[in-house]
Amino acid sequence: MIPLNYRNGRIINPEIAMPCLGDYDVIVCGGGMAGFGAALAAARQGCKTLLLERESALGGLATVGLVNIPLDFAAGISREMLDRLNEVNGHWHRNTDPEKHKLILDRMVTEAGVDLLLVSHVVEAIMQDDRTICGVVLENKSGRQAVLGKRIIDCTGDADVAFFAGCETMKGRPSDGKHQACSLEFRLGGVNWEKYRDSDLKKNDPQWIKLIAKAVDDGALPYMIDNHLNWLTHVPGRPQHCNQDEVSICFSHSRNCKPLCAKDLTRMYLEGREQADILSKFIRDYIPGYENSYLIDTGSLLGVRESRRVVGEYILKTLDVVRANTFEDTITLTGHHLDLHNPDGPGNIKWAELEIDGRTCYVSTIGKVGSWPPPGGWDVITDGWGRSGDDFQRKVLPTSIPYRSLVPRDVDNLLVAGRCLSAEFMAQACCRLILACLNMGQAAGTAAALSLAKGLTPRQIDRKELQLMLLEAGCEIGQSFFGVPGLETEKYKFTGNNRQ
Amino acid sequence: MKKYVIDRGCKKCCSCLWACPAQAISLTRDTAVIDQAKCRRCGACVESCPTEAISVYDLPAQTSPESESPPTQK
Repeated sequence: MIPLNYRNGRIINPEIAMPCLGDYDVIVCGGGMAGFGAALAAARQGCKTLLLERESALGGLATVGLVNIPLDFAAGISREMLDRLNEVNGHWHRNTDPEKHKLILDRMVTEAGVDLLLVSHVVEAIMQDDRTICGVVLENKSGRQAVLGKRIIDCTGDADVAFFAGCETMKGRPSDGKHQACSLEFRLGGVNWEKYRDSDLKKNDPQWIKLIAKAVDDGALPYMIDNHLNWLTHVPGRPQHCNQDEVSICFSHSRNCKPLCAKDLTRMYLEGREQADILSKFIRDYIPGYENSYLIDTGSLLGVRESRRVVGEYILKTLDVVRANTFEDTITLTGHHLDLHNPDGPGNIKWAELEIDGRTCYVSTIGKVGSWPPPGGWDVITDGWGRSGDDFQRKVLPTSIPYRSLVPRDVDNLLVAGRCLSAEFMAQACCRLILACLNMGQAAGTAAALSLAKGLTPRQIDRKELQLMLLEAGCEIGQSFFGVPGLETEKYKFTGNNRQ
Repeated sequence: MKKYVIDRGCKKCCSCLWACPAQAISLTRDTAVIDQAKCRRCGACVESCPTEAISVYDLPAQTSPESESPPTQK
């Protein structure tokens, strides 16, 4: 207990002595896809590794959040994870079974010898001095405890640890500070997948845009939750068991999100569940193949797309993304396109306003506008060099993510991985897919291990040595598309069916 | 002989674009499209498509994939 010591509107917490759980080589904060990749990579390099996760299972949005779609480059640990899922019939066409996925992650982490603490929330950073992190404070059922670590990897998605440690961070859209919309996924059972797959609706209006507009007009939907179906993914394996399919649906859409505010997170969970209730009934009544469908569950983790991003040694620019710029220190690739889930209304746009050579351009990497075109319409859409119309060239090369975007500028012995990487707002939008996060985690975990082996800070490591380790581990760091400057990479190239 | 056609609600997520070893896939305004002349019929696109938008047609043995003779859907 603490005494009621009320001062200036606050309750004063007396000084407490926290038990120290131990001294680790690497502490990974956050057990989502990035943290999973980081912990596995570090442990496999021989580091004594602790993985801390606030939910009751690993995988973050990919499992607990029901975002069962591991898109992006599958190489290294991400390929291995998919192969393990294939063994248990838990993966099909980049759609996963969240339950089997949780199990596979548990097993892989245990096999690697990682120390795991679930249902544990990281609440503070412990600093050796202003610039050097040396541990974290966590809270769980066993109380408030400290744990020391030589290297800390922030895979919280919200750059929480970087924030606690005093790093400068970036939040929201530059123009108004608003964040990408959040979505609470939900799962439906009793689906006749083939009927839906072969339906006219899927062929002619695959994102239900016309259907939704009509439904809002008719009153079949009380309001436009979103103006399109964002994703509909299949939970594999069910027909073999019970002759019915399950699907996971990203359709809910919360506006004016404050994902770093507990009160607003609460608002979004309540809103997401109400939206799932409305949408699951609408789907049952209007979508072919869903006549006998029912709501199984909503995600236990809200789909936050963007919250905080750390300021790193390099801030990945939207211009880098649209031009497929390459770097000396690339540690993974991503194939995702520009993607803005409207912060304050329905819709999703696939272009961004950018200054190119002193001119305001509206850039799309693939010539897709999404829910509405920019001022001036389709015809003003440019590529990364400001070319439009007949001169427009679609981007056919993936985006490179440099190591420097995982290295916070302000604090040593800290790395970040996942959606909180150092990137501009629209660049980050392209770097947050599930496997991109896992791949960044693998790079961060490997870098942490290398830094320990060499007695250097993560900032000081030789980037070529890191890249060689990642190549040896089977990762795609650009060798298949661009080569890697300074390294001979012919034998590491992916071709054929392993290319993604 | 198989013919791969993106005709079932493509979302333009680009997964197939990166997966194709022949770089046979490009994008139009509405959909991704497979260049039948470049296609190696390896099926990597089908495996990579998260929304099952790619149909696989069986063509009669003597027909080239670019022909318009009625295919039977697999």
